[in-house]
Amino acid sequence: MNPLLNLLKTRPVFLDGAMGTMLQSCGLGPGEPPELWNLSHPEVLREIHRAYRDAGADILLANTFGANRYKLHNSPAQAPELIRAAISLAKEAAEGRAFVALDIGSTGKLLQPYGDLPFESAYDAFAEMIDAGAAAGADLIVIETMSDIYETKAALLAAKEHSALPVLVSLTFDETGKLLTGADIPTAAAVVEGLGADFIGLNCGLGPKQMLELLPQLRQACSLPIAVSANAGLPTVIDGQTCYLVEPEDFAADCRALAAHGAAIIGGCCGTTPEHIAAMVNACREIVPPPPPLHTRTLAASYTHTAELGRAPLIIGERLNPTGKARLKEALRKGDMDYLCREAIAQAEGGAHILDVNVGLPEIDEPEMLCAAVQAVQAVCDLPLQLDTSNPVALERALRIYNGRPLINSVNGGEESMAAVFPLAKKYGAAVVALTLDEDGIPDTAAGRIAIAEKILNTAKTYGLSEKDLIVDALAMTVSTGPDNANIALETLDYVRHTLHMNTVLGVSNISFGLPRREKLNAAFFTMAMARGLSAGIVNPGDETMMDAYRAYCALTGFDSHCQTYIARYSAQAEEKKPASAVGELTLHQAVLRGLIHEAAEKTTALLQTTPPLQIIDGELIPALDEVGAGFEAKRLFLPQLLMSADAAKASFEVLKAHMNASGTVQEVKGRIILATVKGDVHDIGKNIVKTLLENYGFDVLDLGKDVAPERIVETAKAENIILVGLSALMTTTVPYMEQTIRLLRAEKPECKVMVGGAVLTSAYARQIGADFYGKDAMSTVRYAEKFFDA
Amino acid sequence: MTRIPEKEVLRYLGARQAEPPLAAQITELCAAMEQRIVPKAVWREYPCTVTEHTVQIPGACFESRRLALHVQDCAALLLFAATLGTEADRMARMERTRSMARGAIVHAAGAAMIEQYCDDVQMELALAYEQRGLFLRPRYSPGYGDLPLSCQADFFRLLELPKKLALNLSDDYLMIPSKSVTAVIGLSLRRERSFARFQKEKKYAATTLEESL
Repeated sequence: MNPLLNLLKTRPVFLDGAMGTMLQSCGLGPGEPPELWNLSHPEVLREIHRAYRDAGADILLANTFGANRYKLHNSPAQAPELIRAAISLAKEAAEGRAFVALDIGSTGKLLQPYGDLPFESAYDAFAEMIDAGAAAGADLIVIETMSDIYETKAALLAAKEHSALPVLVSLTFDETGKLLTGADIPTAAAVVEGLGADFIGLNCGLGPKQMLELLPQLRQACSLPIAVSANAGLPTVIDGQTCYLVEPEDFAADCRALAAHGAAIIGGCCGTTPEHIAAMVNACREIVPPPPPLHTRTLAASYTHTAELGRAPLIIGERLNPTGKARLKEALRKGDMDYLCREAIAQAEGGAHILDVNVGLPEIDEPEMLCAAVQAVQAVCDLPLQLDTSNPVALERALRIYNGRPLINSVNGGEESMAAVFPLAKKYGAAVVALTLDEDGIPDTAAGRIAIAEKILNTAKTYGLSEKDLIVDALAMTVSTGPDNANIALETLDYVRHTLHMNTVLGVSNISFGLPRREKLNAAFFTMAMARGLSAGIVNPGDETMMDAYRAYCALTGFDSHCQTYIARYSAQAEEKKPASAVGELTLHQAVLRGLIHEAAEKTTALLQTTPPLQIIDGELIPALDEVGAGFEAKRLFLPQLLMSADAAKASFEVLKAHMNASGTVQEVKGRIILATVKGDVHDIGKNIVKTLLENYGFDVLDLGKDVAPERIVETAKAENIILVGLSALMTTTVPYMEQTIRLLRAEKPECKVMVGGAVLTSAYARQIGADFYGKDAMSTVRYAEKFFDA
Repeated sequence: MTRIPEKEVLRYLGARQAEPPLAAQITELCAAMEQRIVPKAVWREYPCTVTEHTVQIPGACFESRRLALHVQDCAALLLFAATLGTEADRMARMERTRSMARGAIVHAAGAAMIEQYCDDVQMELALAYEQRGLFLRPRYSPGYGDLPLSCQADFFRLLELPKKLALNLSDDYLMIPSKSVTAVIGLSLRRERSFARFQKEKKYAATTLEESL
């Protein structure tokens, strides 16, 4: 079905060389979209393609690299039209003697959350290209010069879902083996191979010598045939022109080395010409490409790095799961993603390698919430995630928008579960946690659980999955109800790991349910399980007893080389123990004044033994905040001190909130306020400072985020019946949106007052655009809000 | 590795001095950023024609009296761009989630770091150009004086910034990742008012461009 694979059995497949370089030498102006020449200069295109075909290229890349709706947004011609012309020109030149590829490059935009382009918009732009290219008769798709793994995923998904053509994905790494947006080679390879590309490659950015250095890393990382298209050396600027100086013969010699070391498909990028390609074909055509190595690794990747199961045991953080956690439930119901993010960061700091994400609550829209949670967590935390849901719709949507290659939690031995999960695991390349239970429940023998593991494996194979795609959960059941429960789990995981050769996982702490001092049992069981072959434990990384057991195990088994991690962790701990009296001497008021976060939280916990929460707020916290605010207003204190005090107060409020949630106490809300950074503006630090202070003072803040359209602000104000709105803008260019928002609010919600702030505003400017109040800093905004709601 | 000048971080934070808890956080975060962030830069040399209110290079024409004055005796200039990349923005978001103070510090340290990195790269360039008898002027960036932000589009097109640095330009001409710089650097035959000389006289840091005009 893939004629290129046949060719590869006997010799390398040859790609063509540079298109841009050739067009520039024919007069293409700087910055002019090369794709426009498909209509204006068809003969030039035919000539270039013919020259490459005659040089011996097996694959001609049509002139479609930048033919997407974003790069062409100001151009007279549309992408599909230019693509049809490009494919047909390449086919005419190929005359059946070469394959023609639809060439796809970056949209030139960064995807959210780094940039402003939504993932699905990037997908749509690529799908439009692929529809046009496939209809015009392209033989394959080449996605190349990609520097962001997320955008690459959008393009590759579009290619797989909009055509049946073979796909080559080629990425641009720097000399250290990193993409510009941070992914290393194993991570990029894991994502590309997981999503079902037929070939993977390196192109652009480097010359052939530097590519030769990276090639072994790529072969180590994946089992796909590899393509390499190097530049004609590193660029040199002469008289303002970028030049590539490696001559055809030297280029060809380097390409020969590349082919000998495993580049099965080989061509040229910037600066190469038909002469380079002809020399390259001559030098390489006798080489039989070594077959790609077959790897059987179980991987989870984020957008920067990859975690591999089956080496040192891994920690999968379990805290992002609302079961039994009132505070997380509340955060999910309110859409408070900051809370989720804080939990994620805390687990990463605790030593987690992968984070489980579960947002299942009966009253929320799980597909929506899981996607929001995944995106929020990925924006702040670079650990791979394990998508934990029993809702197939939520699972597929999260698999799509996830940046990297996640794990799935979970499938079980039931027919329905396997039929729902395996197609998704295959399509998105995600390994699956397989629970050893089925329609008949959880077997109470190891043999019974092993039988289910085998059944799951056999079924998985019918979907094209294999051992490496499953992580078997042997199921820890509490020893309080069955004395043999630990043994059953341990025997199961030992057999699965060492006889069935699959990775294993356990929700470790279930073992102690219903018993006192659970941490003691949990840690002992965790150590036993790791010794029997546990690949990953789903645990709380904030549980020091558990992490002590983990670090000790790794030190004892040689997974912690020279006990480095163990020593780094524990050698300083003896001295570090703070004298307990230090906290005892401080009052909460003082802890907030000095901006001491941990002390503020500890002191609050201690105070709650004797003092009702509302009294702590009114008697300690608010006076402390007032004092800091006054110091700031008098310029005795500066912004960092104000922020540190706000942070300390926030930590105290977190403790109080947890306590009040549990006891049913309700804090009086002083008023509800919308905050937003206006449309076009992505600077939200000022707005976030105001938010923290307002919340500390007891206001309920609806934070709409940054780059918020006027309509959305007005709709929210109407729907939630909110009468105070705060708007922030940092750039002179975005203040007009502020004015527009105010106008719209006046028309649609006239009783609503508007406060504005931001670096470029002045009180005169604020009056001019119709604002009710200009906040020169965060404190003044708090004062205004207090007066407003008191009145 | 680019060293982040902690004094500058304090300046950006609007604080005169750092008390112990703040100072410790600044030191910790600067060290983490120095380790994690790999800044990158690109530049390209163009011949230029300067009139009273325009600076013309092949492929673009900048309309700005102040810029024209800044490079008035230059026959060539560099278009320059540098960025801390997406990791700096991610760290800022992560730290902000943990605490406002840490978020503000990363924000300030990022600003200090990109300026320091630009200075370092420019100093290397200055030494290289001195061999050819040319002296680099201080950087002049879009949005400064009367050089409109919209000319960012020219930088992006000519320097291929999306491809070379994974930089993005929003519809309102904001750069993403946020800790990024573009600038015109004049190449002059005269040593006066040169970047290297300003760097030597520390009191004229790169930010006091105003006084050089």
